Amino acid sequence: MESLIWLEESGLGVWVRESMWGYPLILASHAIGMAIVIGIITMLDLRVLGFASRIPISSIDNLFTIAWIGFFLNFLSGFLLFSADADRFFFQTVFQIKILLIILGVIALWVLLRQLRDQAITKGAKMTAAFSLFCWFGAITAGRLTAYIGVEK
Amino acid sequence: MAETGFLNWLEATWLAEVTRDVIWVFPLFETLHFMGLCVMFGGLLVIDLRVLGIARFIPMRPALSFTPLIIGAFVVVVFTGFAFFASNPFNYAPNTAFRIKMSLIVLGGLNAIWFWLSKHGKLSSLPDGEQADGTAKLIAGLSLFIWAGVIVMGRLIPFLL
Repeated sequence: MESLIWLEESGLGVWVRESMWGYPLILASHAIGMAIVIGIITMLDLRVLGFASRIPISSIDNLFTIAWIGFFLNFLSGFLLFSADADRFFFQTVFQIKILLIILGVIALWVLLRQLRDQAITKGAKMTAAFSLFCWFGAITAGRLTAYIGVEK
Repeated sequence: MAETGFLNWLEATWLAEVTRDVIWVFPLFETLHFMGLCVMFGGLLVIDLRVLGIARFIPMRPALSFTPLIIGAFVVVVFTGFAFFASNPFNYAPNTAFRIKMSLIVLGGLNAIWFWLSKHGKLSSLPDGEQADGTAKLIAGLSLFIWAGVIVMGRLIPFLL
């Protein structure tokens, strides 16, 4: 609890909250990162589920460097947004669900890439891809709801 | 003013009322808007990064088969975006970020048409692993730059009045 308040009162938290362009630019980065990381993961998941089946799975691997850049951008911008209002987010249920879904989404991606190593698409890989879609689209939903549920107005 | 008349009419339509007044419709549309933009940008990344040569091991022809998916996602994003606009047109119409965003969408569309007319056929037969020509790369780079700008401007609507 105290560390949340400390984070909010830190130079970082204050800058994000009060500088004129800090907050909007970080929000914009968070949206770009989301489009990159969820966009690429969704394309992989759809490919595993049978879309564009003439694309070799291994050729999509190259895109994951870009996806990780998007993830890093979102981790960083997300942490900055969190620091501006840490004690609200930390105890907000939809925010906790969002973070949980992101962790599950990253685990699902890790599992999926291992399942795809020998090139054949198994039933298990398809289930992981479907679960991955659920996690990332769920994270978008929960993220949007952080602006509506559990907010004092 | 013809424009004011249109906006007045739009504001009173059924879609505008539902989006504005029915609880949870606005956040639901926002969520769909975000999901649509992720799918659209993801599909664009596959094609544009292939054309740019960054993901050149993706065969070109099947990469281009992401096009209907991109267009489908675009339809979802335009519909939900139109609903936001209709729900409060006098707020959006003069907004600087919104105006830049709309201009960028027009540019993005023209850029896509340029790609379709001048490069789509030629690139379909590009051998696996080969680089696309310079103009195709320019179009692909512009595409990512413009659509990223659309996302940024959308996020800035509440701030850049």
